Amino acid sequence: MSNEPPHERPDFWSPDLERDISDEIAAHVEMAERDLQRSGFNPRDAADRARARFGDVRRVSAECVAIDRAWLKEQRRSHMWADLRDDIRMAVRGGRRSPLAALVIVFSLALGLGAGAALFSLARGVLVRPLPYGDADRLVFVWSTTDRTARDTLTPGRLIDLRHALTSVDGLAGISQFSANITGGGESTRVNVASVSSPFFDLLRATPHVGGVFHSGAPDRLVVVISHTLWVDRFAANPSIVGQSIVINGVGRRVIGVMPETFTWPSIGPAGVGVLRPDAFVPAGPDDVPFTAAGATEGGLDRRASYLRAVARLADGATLEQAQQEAALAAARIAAMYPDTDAGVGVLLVPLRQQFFGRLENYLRVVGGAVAMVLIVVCVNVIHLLVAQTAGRQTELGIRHALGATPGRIIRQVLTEAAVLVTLGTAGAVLVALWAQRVFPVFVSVRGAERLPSGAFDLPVALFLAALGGTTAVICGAFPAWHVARGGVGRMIASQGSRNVRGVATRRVREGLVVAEIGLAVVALMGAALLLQSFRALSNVDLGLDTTRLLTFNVGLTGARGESTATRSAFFRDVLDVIRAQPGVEFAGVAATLPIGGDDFSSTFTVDGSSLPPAGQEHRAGMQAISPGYLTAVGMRLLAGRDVRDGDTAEAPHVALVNQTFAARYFPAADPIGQRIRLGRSADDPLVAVVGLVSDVRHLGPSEPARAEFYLPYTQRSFRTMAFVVRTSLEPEGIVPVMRSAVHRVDADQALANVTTMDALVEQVLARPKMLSSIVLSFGVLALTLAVMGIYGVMAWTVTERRQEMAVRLAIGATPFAVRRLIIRRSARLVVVGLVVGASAWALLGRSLEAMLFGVSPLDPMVCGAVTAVVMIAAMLGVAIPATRAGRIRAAEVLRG
Amino acid sequence: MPIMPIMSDRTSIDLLQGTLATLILKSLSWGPRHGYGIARWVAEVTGDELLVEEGSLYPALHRLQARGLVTSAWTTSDTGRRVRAYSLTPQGRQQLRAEVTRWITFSAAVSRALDARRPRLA
Repeated sequence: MSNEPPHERPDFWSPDLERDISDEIAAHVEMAERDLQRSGFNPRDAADRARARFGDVRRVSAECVAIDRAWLKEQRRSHMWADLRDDIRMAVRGGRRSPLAALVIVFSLALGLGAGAALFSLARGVLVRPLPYGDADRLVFVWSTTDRTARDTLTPGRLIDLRHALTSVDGLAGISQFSANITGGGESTRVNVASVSSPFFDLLRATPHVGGVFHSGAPDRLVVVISHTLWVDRFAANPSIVGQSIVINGVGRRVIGVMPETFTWPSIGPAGVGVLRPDAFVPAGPDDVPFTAAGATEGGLDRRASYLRAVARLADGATLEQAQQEAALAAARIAAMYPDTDAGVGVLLVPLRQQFFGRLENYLRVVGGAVAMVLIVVCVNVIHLLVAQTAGRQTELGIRHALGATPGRIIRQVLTEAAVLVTLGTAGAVLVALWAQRVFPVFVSVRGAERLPSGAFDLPVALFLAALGGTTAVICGAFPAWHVARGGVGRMIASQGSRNVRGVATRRVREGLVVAEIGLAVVALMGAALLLQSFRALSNVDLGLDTTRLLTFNVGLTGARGESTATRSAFFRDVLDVIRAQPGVEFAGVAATLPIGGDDFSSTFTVDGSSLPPAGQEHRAGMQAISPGYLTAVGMRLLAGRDVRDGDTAEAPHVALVNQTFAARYFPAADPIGQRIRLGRSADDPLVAVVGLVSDVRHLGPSEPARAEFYLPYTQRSFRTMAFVVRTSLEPEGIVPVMRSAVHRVDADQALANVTTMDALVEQVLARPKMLSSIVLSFGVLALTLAVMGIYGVMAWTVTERRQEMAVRLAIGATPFAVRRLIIRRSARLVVVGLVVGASAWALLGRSLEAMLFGVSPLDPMVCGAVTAVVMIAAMLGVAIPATRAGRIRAAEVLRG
Repeated sequence: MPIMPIMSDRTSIDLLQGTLATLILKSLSWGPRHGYGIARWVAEVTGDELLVEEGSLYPALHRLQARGLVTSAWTTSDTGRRVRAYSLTPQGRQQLRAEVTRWITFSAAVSRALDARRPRLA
């Protein structure tokens, strides 16, 4: 209770100004009359004189009333601010009196509101942001459907057939994306290129920033439209680039335009949106069929190679349903015409927005529901705590009322207290929202996360948060205020602690809520604990590699360099020689594909001497092509036999190394060295001799077991694109320019791509489980906080409500311990039921997490036990405070009332 | 007060507002009084010259109250009537002191000017 003097309450809240003034004047005139009579005037003369001396009564009183009224208004205004200041001070003091409750309220409000704001900002980014195409809602994606996949790419033949068959779409453009080297106008660089059918830009209604684009029927196909990014990065945003020539994969092309910064075309996969965006758009090849990295090919429409994505615009007046029906008929006709290749293949039209954001939209909807639920629970809990607090302060509020505070004034104080808490919570929510925004895109997609439409914390988001906070404040404040109002402030002192009859029904609801909260906390924390455990296990996996100071990059050979095994090997050998001579380089090698984050090359094979298995049941093992020194460079061990060597030329006997898993699986009883395997399944395929045994690596990442692998010398099995691995004695990043110049010294037309370190690759692989576990953990902490708050609130309320009863118990001889036990027993029942509910839910739901776990079972007894114990201890800590308070009730005081 | 006779023109009472306010503050400097008491005191000390209508005292009093220089409280008179008694606030006392100093300085200056002899032409 405040130790200040009670707020001085001037009587100006409802004064009768006119009456006061007229009383004052009447007194004046009367006194004047009396004095005059005393000095000898007769009563009537005295009255007349007194009145005359006073002057115009009506004018004077009107003037005084006006002055007082203005003064009053001014006073009221300044008092309102003073009251608000007092209320806030009281609220802060109240917060200090029960810091735990205040902290819990603010913390959970911050999490709840912050999650809401972050979600809103992301949803705005995804759902509201316009797409950079004209009338984008009329654009659809065109996919093939088969028994196996719901969305498959198109073959060239199918693309052209559909273009002719569909009248309900207005233009249909195929797209093929690949990476290519750009040379000319500076160093050779690797970029993403899209070969697109000629109506592509017209279809999207996209206009260039500088220059022009290509259209249907334009004769010149050796042109290119570049992205804004490429224009800025490579050509310094020079407009005169238009008209000049650049070389893409050895083909000279005239730049005819630059797209605006806002124009993007994501690389679309069947499941959603990738993040590699084309930097150069080139027209399709013959028949307007987009080509691949191999270049345009003449001669007929391929009906087998399926690699095309396609986009179309619905014709004016056509609906998606009509177009879909027409496409289904067309698919049936095509199937009849080409039964070998197109039988059973359907057509699916997907609206652009759904294609781009469909998965994300569903995701947002689910998360939105969860956030809304959390917010509601947060509000209910905050209301509990505030009502319990208010009820516990009935004496204080009653005294304030007795000292002259009006009911309105007291209700305002209760509302202000809620508002102060919600304001603090909202401030915390800003931090939470900013954090969530940084984290969320990473969670959705690890690679190139920054390209996702991540929301910004801008004005609309701030307004949304303010509105959310305002609503919460009103809801959270209204209930305690209503409680006060209903209780009748005047009766507060007299009625304190009396039991509320209606409370019995609502207590069931409240207790049910607490049980649900505890169950939710168990489920969320189980998930969090298991994900953390599995992240830890993943981080500790021995990859079979030494990743420290290991620089990696790719070189994809273009032009004559990439034509034959001989030219390829020569290039890589020469570059390796240059690199190994550089200071700071310890070891260097090349491989066809990097372990961790690289491709998953594999090949069928047969062990020499065994019979050919039936088709579809061949042995399959991971395939790798490496240079001498690669094993040392990445820290693999040669366990027996020899490494590959420069002498293993194409003409020399073909050899291979196998790893431990391979040896154990296919030569369990024999020494692998000297065994022979046949790659492929026909008798014409070459036989290779196993000459070495190497240690296992986790090629597919820490979560996948080591696969059976064989390693071929790069001089016998060559690839255009190889990955360099360079072990440095210095910081790997510092040596990148040296690597670039080494490559260019051998061939200035070749480019480095995907420059990174092995540590970064490993980190990238672990980023998703890390994010997932930290998000689920924060949700788990939120759920536990809510549960503890909930049980604290309900028990605090119960103690307040049953003060009278407890006091009677104490008065007739119960010990404080017995009273405490009463509360604890009641809470323990709720906690146990909650734990059982949570554990049962987990037993049902836990399996669904199995796919995301590594090295730990969803029902791991250690984790489940620990989580149960943590939730139980936390919940009982929440009970401890009200239980202690119940034990401290002073029976005499309560009963005296 | 030398200039009072000039001010005795009954229409120029408004001009005396400031002076009246100062006199009210002065009247309260010995303790609380009600409006009639203030009026009697002013009439006595100024010989009925200043306060022509006693009623005009009240707007001045209420204005002083709004400015926080005086405060009022209801009491009961010996005849049992509700009367409002005014008293000085600390600010009112301070204001009175400042007004007195200003008046003395002002009147001394005016007196010197009015007592001056005809200046000799140099």
